[in-house]
Amino acid sequence: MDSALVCQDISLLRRGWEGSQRAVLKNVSAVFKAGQVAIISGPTGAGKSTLLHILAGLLRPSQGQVLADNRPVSRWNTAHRDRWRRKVGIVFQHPRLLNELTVLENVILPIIPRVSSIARLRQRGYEALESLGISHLAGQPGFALSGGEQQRVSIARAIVSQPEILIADEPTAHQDETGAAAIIHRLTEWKRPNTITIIAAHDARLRRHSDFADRQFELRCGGLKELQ
Amino acid sequence: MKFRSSYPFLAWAVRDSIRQPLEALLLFLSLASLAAVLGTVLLLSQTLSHTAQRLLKDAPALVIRRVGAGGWAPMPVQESVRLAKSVAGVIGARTRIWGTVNGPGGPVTVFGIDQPLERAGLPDNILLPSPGQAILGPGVMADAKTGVIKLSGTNSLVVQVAAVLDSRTSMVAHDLVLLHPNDARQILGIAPGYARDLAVDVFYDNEAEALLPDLASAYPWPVLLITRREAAGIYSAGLARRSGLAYMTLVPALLALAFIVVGAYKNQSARRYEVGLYKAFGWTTADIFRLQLLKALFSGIPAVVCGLILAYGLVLWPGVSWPGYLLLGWKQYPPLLYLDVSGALLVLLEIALLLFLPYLAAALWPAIKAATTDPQDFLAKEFI
Repeated sequence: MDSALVCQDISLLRRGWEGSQRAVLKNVSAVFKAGQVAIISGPTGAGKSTLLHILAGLLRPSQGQVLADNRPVSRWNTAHRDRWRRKVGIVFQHPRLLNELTVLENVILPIIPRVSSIARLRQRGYEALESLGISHLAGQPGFALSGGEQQRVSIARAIVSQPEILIADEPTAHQDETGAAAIIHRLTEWKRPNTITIIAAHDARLRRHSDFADRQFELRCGGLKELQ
Repeated sequence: MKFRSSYPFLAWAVRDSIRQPLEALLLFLSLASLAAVLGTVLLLSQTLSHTAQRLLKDAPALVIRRVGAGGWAPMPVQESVRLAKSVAGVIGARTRIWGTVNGPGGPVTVFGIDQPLERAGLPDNILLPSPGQAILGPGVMADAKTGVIKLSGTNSLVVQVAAVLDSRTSMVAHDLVLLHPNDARQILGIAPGYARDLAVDVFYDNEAEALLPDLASAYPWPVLLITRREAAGIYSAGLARRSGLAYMTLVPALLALAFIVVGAYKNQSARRYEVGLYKAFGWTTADIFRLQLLKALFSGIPAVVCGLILAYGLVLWPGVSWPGYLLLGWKQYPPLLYLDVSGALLVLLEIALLLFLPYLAAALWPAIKAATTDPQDFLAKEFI
């Protein structure tokens, strides 16, 4: 059976400044299957990032659940979800690099506890950077990079562990045409039979690549709708 | 919680420890200095206690001193020895000629020595002093040009320095001037055929106190009898007073430690965002705990070891004088102190309890708290 990530009737309530509760997500249901790339679009503030964080196990929904291979991940305790999160690669909307570290060190962060030799660590880090055309930046500190370069480094960091689930939040933000094309190309390559790829995209350049995305969703006012 | 130790993980812990080099250096210096201060005080106290015990172990079981209205009085040598040996249980008695006089650099203890028995504990290669000669302890200063020393007690005397004892000889030899008995008597104002006190050896050490009434009644004049246990008590009281003064330096040291611990706690708390990031990338609570533990050990162990080596050198390295001067008020060349394995281990344990465990707890506690929490709490800025 192919693996899948399933949202079952997910809602998320947030308390506003004035004390009232506001639904960020309302009864969101979707099935993300392995081997497919899903793009979730929607206006700013629609809840795309929040949904991605719930799917990545960083955030618990107020209602509903997330199933990974029929297991209720969102209901697990912290320790179990930590272990499951090893299967997830995440690209944040903001790159979130650690500035005192070099680019290579930032990239290998997710796999340090799991790789048994420094040579192998370096090799995997360089491979991830190479795939995005930025291996020449390996020795530079994170703060010395442009916004676009930082975003590409954060994508390399997400794919270095060869995750089963790749979740990317606006991966082409801050990119020029060339950079965006490189990222789309890399994500297309990443489309594998056993990998679930979910991308939040405000950027029209991503949505234009209909051959790249297998399924497109639109998130509007907290509700998710699949586009045909 | 499973602990795997892989080389990349260890290397990463080292790398992460020095990510902020200035902060890491300051932490190292602070911990090393604190370990040195705490170690010096604790080692000094421990070594003084151990050295005193060691000295008293070699001391006579009993000391008999003649007393009069004005304090101690000289004892006739032959009669004193005969009377002591007349008491059942006494197996040996020897008179001692000693006293405190002024030397060129301050008070010194002169000791008249002419019997092989009294040479116990002194190096074999040193000959007994002839009349007009002196053998000096390592803390006694003589005139370097002329090689003579002037001693002033009841009478003054200038003697030629025949030898200087090695600094490793013994703590008791530190301010000692060994003289021919006749010279010692002259300086101390003791008449020929008389001595300062009598050292008595008994058959069973633990029966020494039982012999006190017999010994007291054996002498026709009032005597003061001091057993080894009483001498130990006098030494201990003196050491406790001095050590108490030294322990006062621990107060600012412990305040500084509290400051470091609070700093380490705040530093770790400030890095909770990073812990959240690590967890978002698939690090488990065990991974984060292991990383923080290794980082704390990498920062703490070398610093504490360096501090302890420094403390050890300050207390036990021959010739280093200022810790004794500052903490105990020693004005002269410091004596050689002794430390046994159990004493050294005790100091290590005290340092671990006082310094290392609070530091480790402060470094680990916020990280553990953060690591057992969902990453969402630390990455809140990401959520829109």
